[in-house]
Amino acid sequence: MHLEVLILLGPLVAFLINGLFGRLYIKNNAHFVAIAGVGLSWIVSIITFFRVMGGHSVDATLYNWVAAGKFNIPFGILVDPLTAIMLIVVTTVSTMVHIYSMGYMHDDEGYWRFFTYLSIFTFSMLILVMGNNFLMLFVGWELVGLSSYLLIGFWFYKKSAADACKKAFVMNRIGDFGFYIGLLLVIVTFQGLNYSDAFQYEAIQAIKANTYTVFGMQFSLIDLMTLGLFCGAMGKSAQFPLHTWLPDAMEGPTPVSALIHAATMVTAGVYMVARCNALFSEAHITSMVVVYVGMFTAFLGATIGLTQYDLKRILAYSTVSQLGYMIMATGVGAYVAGIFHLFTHAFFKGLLFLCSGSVMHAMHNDLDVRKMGGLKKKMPITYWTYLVGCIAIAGIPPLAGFWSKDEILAMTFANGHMFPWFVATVVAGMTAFYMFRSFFLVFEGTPRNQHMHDHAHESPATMTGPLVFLAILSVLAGAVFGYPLENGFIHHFLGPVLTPEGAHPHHLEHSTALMLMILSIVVAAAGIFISWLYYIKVPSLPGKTVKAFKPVHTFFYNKWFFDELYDALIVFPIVTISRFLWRGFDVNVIDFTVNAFGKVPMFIGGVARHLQTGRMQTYIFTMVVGVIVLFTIFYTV
Amino acid sequence: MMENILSILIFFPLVAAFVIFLFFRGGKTTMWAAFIATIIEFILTIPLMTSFDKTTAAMQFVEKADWIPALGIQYYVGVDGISILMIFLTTLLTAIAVLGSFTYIQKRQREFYLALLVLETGMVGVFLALDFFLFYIFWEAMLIPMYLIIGVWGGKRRIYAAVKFFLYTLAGSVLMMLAIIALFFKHGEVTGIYTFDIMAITAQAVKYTTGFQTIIFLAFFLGFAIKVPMFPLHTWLPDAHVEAPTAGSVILAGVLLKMGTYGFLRFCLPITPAASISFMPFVAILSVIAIVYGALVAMVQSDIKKLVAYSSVSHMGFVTLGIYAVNQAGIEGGILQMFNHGIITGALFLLIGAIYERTHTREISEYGGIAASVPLFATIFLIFTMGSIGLPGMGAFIGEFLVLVGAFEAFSDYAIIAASGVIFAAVYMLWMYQRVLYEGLNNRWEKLKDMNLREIIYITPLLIIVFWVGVYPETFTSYMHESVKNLVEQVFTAGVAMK
Amino acid sequence: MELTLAHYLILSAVIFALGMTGVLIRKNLIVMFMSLELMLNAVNINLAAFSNYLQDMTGQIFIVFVMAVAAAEAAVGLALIISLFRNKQTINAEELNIMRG
Repeated sequence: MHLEVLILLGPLVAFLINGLFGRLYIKNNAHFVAIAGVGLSWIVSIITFFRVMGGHSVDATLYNWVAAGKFNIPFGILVDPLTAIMLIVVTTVSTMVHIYSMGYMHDDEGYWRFFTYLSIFTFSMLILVMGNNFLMLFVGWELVGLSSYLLIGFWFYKKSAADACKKAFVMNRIGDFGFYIGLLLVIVTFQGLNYSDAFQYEAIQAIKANTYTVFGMQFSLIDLMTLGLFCGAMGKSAQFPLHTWLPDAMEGPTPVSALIHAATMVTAGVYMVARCNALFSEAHITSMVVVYVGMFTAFLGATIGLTQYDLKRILAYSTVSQLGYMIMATGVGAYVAGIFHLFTHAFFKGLLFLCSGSVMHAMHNDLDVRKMGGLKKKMPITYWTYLVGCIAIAGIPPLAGFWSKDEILAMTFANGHMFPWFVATVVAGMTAFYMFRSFFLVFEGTPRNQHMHDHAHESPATMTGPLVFLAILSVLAGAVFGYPLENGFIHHFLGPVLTPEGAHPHHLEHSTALMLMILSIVVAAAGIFISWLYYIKVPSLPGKTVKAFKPVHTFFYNKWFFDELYDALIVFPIVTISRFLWRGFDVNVIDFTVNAFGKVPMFIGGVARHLQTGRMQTYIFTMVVGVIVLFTIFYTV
Repeated sequence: MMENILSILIFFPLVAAFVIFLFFRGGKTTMWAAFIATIIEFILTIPLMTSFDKTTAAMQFVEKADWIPALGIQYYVGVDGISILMIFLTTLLTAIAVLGSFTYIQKRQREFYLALLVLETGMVGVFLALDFFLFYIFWEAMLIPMYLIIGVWGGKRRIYAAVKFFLYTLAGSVLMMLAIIALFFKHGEVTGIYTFDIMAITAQAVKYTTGFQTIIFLAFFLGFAIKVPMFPLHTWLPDAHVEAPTAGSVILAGVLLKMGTYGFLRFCLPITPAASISFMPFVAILSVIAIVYGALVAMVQSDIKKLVAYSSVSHMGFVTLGIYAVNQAGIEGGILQMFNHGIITGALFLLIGAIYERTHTREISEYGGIAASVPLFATIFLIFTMGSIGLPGMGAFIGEFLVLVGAFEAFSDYAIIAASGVIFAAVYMLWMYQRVLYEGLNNRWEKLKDMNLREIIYITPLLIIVFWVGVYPETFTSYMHESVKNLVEQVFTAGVAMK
Repeated sequence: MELTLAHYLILSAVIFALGMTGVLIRKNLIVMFMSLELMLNAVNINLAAFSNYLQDMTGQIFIVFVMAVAAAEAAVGLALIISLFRNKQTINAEELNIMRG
């Protein structure tokens, strides 16, 4: 028995207890159980982290799970530096969100249900990061999808929530379809699904040049495999074109948005790509796809984020954008940078979401930033922590975001992806702008809705505590782990598992690196400055800008019309075709044929029935005639 | 007792039916008597499961006696790794179906339970018979009680549905009978011994010419494909499901459909290996069409039961795809999926039946937001919805995964299309779930009662099994390893020898 | 003139034909019934004639059988006719045609 199993067991047991007894017995004490479970995981995760620092690692089979013929897929756990980092992220944010939820969900009638779902989510996410094979990864992958479905649809009686949770699940499933194909390719290629089978350098080199024929077309095997897997990542990490579910997922309770839709679940795609670095680094076409999908998503998210008025949606689009960064980083081969950004982002984005929850709490669940303003005095803790989050995400040193984001930019530059680098830098500026836009609109200036403002108040300690804790992490995590740039603790820690064999990492000259760093700081500062100009100094500017760029603004504000596009191009045709298949084909063709088989005997019978007159004398007469005829025949022949 | 266990399993329900016929007159006592009988039957399968030897592919607990020696007809039964799970499924689902009918069936109660018990004998007999004549008798005998269950206790269009069901299946079984007679004579011609012994006929598979095999294969295939049902022979299923009472739907989806795929495994593959191999792509295409087509049509249904019925078409497509991949992973996945589909779809029909008893409607559009008034029902329904979608941790995921692995090895293109079924399954199931249980509070259902103890009791075993298969499938797959391995070898050695 | 077998057979044939005609053309069920009896008795004459001609008792035994059956038939048949009349208020064979296809 490995100690790490406790990490899994904590939330699982909590889930079972709350799930079975919560409704009738535990009710409003559900948080004790759930926090005990996740707390255990957290503590063991920290212990594990330090043990892994000391060189400890686990790759163990707990039991044989699926066996058929030559395949034998174990239920096994893997603990290595990458897992250790992910464990820290997941359990830390999860614990904070659990504590926060005690305050936030206080009056909700589904209190126990909420904590039950949080536990199952945590468990699923831990399965995802701790599995030692692709199937375990997939299991975690699907289970987090389920938890996300449950939590987005937590207030299921709202149509918007019910729609959103279904949309999230289905969008993820579309990605999972690709993942499934990738999985199948892995299993037929490597005759197994264990990471240790699939990531062997020799094995990969041996199949590197192979091709695979799909629908009569030849593809490079490894590109096809990784593209399939990446489809899964696109779904889960909300990358274009599967990004539309994430903003809608904000229908869930805010702690959920913080935990699942910002810090942990949505980063699963990044984790997966990083985990499969041995495969992705050999797949050149896929790598290009990854870079450009990531870049475009970052840009897309930022443009929409600029125009939204709903605080949580702003944060959601910023998450989409930041996820694009991480994906882009993995595409250029900067796996460490990608995971590092995942790490820091988890803290500051979790923080920002929790702050928005705190604001929501104060504003009675209204999230329109146009109605807020001047909350600084009313909610000082929220104000300061939100500010920390904004600075962190904007990329101002020495806060966490700077270290990881700068590294992504630098690595993109170093690997020669100039256009993505340029776009990413612009996006960095936009990020700074729209994050501070939200900050200024919410906390600075004068209240725009006096009535709501009067009722605003700071949140209770169970909510502000986690804010402060995460704010501290947002300040420190970057520098502690990432200093000095490209040579910090995290690089030494993750380097061994995230440097593919045979890769040739590019390094920048010191002066270039410094130049880039200064550039990124300048861009961020410029973003903040313009934001200040627009929303504090000259409040009439935004209106004028919107007027000047009306079509562009409409385009961005309506999220590039993706939802409408998908409805028209995918949903509508499929439903139409389905209706046709049912009414047109099933009923009118197949059943028609079947009924025709019945109709033929019916027709013959219909003709023959006229022989049955119902008069017995006719029958007797026929019989007599028949007898006479027969006699005649027999006597003459 | 263990040496006669199979005969006991086959005939116990019939004896019980006779006793109920003689001594009971409907009402509560009859229900309980029927329930106790089916529970005893289920308990009888447990020693069968535990003393089953998993290390051999041979038939076990064999009983063999001459019946009509002049025609080479025997009473010959036995169980192997392919049929044992089906026996377990049958006895379990019948017991649950009985318990699920207590309040649903109000008229002619005694006759209803008689029909169920007779049906059980037929079903168990089909899975255990090793003599074609015996098999055919059970196969046909099973139709009659099912016909009655739909036709007497069904909904508004029950007569149409029952007749459609009956004629469809009968058309298939007529062809099957011709194939059986042809095999009888062919085997006699080849060996000089005229017998209906399935094992003996299978053993001579190599000696049948490819042309003969093709004819036999097609005749069998049509008979079984109707039962599965495979596209485009599926249209009886939605009608039968919609009209059948809950217990009828449970048995129909849970057991009767499996007889088609069981037939593929027991007859088509081993008796006509060469034809099976040449028809692999053909069956695979039909399976893939069934998967996608069933899912698409399910999406636009307005009746919950019809939706689940079409989803069955889709899910059974996975089973046939796996079986006709003819490799260990595919066939094991197929069998496991047969089992899972029985459990999950059976549970879904039970749940739909339970809510129908309260609301008297199955129109999706008349529901909405009932999760608030029936939280337990909503949770359990969600679990099985997710199970049906193939969520990991539950049985169907393992089954689907093995099927896809097997199919991907055999024909990757079809497997890719089949995998798209995972998307559609999520779409139609969740959309239905959303419209029924989430979204808006319909005042009509505010006072809806949550599940009662009886309902909890009958759904619990299914819940346990669905998770058991998902978490530790080896308990179930270990029964089939040897038999499936043997089957695959049989098909390939025979198939290769033919060429 | 001596009565030969042929005479009996002609008589029986005539009676049989009369009976058959009655059954075929009369509308009243009772008359049809009586015609039927006529046919049976024609057969009886036939049997008796052959029995005498062949000096074999088998034919006469059969007559007893036929008479027994005829008696039974008359009893059942008349009972049916009565209940038919009660239900339909008619015994006209033309009107009793509910079996028409």
